[in-house]
Amino acid sequence: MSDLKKMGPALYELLKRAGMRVPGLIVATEQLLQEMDIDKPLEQVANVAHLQGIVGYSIAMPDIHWGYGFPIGGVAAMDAENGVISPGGVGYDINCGVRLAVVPELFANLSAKTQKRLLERIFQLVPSGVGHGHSNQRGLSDRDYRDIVTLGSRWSVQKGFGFAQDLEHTESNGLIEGGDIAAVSDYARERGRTQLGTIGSGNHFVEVGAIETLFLPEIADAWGLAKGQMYILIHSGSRGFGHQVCQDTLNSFIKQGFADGLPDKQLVAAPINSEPGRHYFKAMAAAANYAFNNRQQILHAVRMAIQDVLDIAPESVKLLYDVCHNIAKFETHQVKGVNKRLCVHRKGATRAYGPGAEELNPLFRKTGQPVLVPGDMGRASHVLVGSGNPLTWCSCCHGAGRARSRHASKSAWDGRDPLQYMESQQVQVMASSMKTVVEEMPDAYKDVDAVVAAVQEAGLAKMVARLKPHLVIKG
Amino acid sequence: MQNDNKKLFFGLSVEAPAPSLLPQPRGRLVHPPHQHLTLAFLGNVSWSKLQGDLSNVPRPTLKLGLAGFADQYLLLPPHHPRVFAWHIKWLENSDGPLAYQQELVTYLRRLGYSLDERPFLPHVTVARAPFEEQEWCTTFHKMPVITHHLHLFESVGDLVYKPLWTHQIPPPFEEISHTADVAFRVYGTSMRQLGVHAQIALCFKCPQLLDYLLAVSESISLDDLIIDLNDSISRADSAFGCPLKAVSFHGEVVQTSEGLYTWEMVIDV
Repeated sequence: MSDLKKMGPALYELLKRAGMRVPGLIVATEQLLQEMDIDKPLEQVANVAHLQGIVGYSIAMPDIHWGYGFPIGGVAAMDAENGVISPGGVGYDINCGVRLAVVPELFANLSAKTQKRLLERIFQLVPSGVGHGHSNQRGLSDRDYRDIVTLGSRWSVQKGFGFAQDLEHTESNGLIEGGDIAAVSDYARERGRTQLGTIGSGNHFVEVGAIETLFLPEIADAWGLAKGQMYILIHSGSRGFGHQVCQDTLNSFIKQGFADGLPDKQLVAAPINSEPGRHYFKAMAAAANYAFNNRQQILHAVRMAIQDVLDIAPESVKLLYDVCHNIAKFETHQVKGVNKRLCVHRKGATRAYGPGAEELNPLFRKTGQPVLVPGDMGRASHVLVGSGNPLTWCSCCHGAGRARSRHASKSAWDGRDPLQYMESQQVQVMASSMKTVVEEMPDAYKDVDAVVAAVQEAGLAKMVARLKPHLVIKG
Repeated sequence: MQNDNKKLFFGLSVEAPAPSLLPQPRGRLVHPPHQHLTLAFLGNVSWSKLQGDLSNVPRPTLKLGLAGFADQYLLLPPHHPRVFAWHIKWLENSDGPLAYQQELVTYLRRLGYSLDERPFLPHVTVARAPFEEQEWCTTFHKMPVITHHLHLFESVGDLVYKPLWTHQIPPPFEEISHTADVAFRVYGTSMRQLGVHAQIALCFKCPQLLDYLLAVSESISLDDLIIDLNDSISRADSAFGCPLKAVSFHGEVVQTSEGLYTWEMVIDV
């Protein structure tokens, strides 16, 4: 830790050393730094700083942990003219992200029986688990794919999965421009064909709970959040489609020698202004748009479940926001006083635009955008408001980050009943696989309260509300 | 003189994926820590006498443990089955266990031990009677296995077998800690064997990947091996939904001072 120099509240600089084009910036409190296994992620932060065209800092969020090339919780912006684009800086699960919707009902008004019925109904309507797609559907046609990747989640809305206003409450209106299905392999299309509208496995989930605490009542009120109100939180991404896009690109970039000279092969990156770079962006955008549609359709299914069980009209279940946390986007930021177009890689990090940002809808342009930070399935998730901090290219954390390996989790819960424990924490869990439940127990994760406190202290975002999960569906 | 007879046999311990990954028919199960491949059954013999001979027992010449898979089931004896067992197809060194078994048996006979004269039928007993034969046969699935310990076992009853003496052989792979994903340290005496062992390691997390095993060439590079492993995962995911997402381009192959190839394989899940 001797290479870290304190810069400000919850901000540390990782001093430049040989090969680094820029220094690193670590967002963390001193306590978090002491608690985390920081060496390998710091090495990755330093490695990212080797990439051509990197501007500003190689950034690490407080939920940082070891990833592939880039750490998870890493942010790096490249000059769009002479910089590189890296699939490792986006991640395998392209546009993995989160969406939060609110229901006009107090969660406490739901009887235990109703809660169970709702959980079971959502579990019926939203396929979850490894590889699980819609067994009763024909799957996406090539025409569907062409439209999905060029329209974004507008495609799902046009098909009747949701409402037009959902688009205004989705990052980039649910569309990353530039997606091209021709840039996506047959393998990727096959993998994703029946997976649209499904959660997947691992740490993906649908969560229903109550808004427990309001930190900024004015903003909460403007956003339609009230204490005790029921919410829905969805975490999913681009499924096998996006994974294959990342894999195809890694294979191709490595074979073309783009990893030569890099400290870590998984940082492999092609010049943005090159055929391979442009090809990856088109495929990445296609996968990102698949993911927007995925979460749009999952929310639709949850709205249907709520209508069935609670008799609440789908249009009354309002989408607050949908954010990406694995993406590379072209954005304009000030660099040394001049507007510059940058390719901002956020891998396990969320955009956090502040008030005034042009892309935002009128409501969020006034307040700043919502930032959604899921914790673990037992303790809490958080809603924050972005502060638009230029130091991190308007970026923030994305979650709690794992504290323990899956293998260690399995050992820790051997012989114990995880579902019974979760019930003791007032959380009912349904999952396709008990193995997933054991791997995703709350003690496998860091404390999300500490993570969001760090980003608030660093001036990246401010806490608006703390959410308490009660009904959880895992893959 | 105090009777120190024990029911003893030499065998290779066998590891297969966690039981939660397997269908579980009913019966008297040989639970995973006790699964083994018997090489030489000595019967009720003096433990102290054998103890004195152990230092001279021939060791297997394997540099690494074996990797393979249960490719078919055996009902033994065929006419009146009392045992449900796996037949193992070893992917490398397929004659190794047989050759070693013959060497071991010859040595033990020279010491005066009376051993089974029937031809050696290598198998791993998974269940003993009583069991529902039909249920076991219809739920059989191919299963990856590795072996890397030679033990002298004592059969203590209730399908419990206690190792009294062990000769360790380095494993073909071992799972290592990784916070977010799954990781193995894989070993091989050649790049080809490393690739074979990497595939079996993946199968330990998803046994259905056994249907997607690829031939690995002797001169394969690590990058090409990773691309091939991911091709298997992609095809498997399209077919049935694979819990593994991709093998990352992490690390390099390192040669140890003993001449073994070793690689840390990290898999995105």
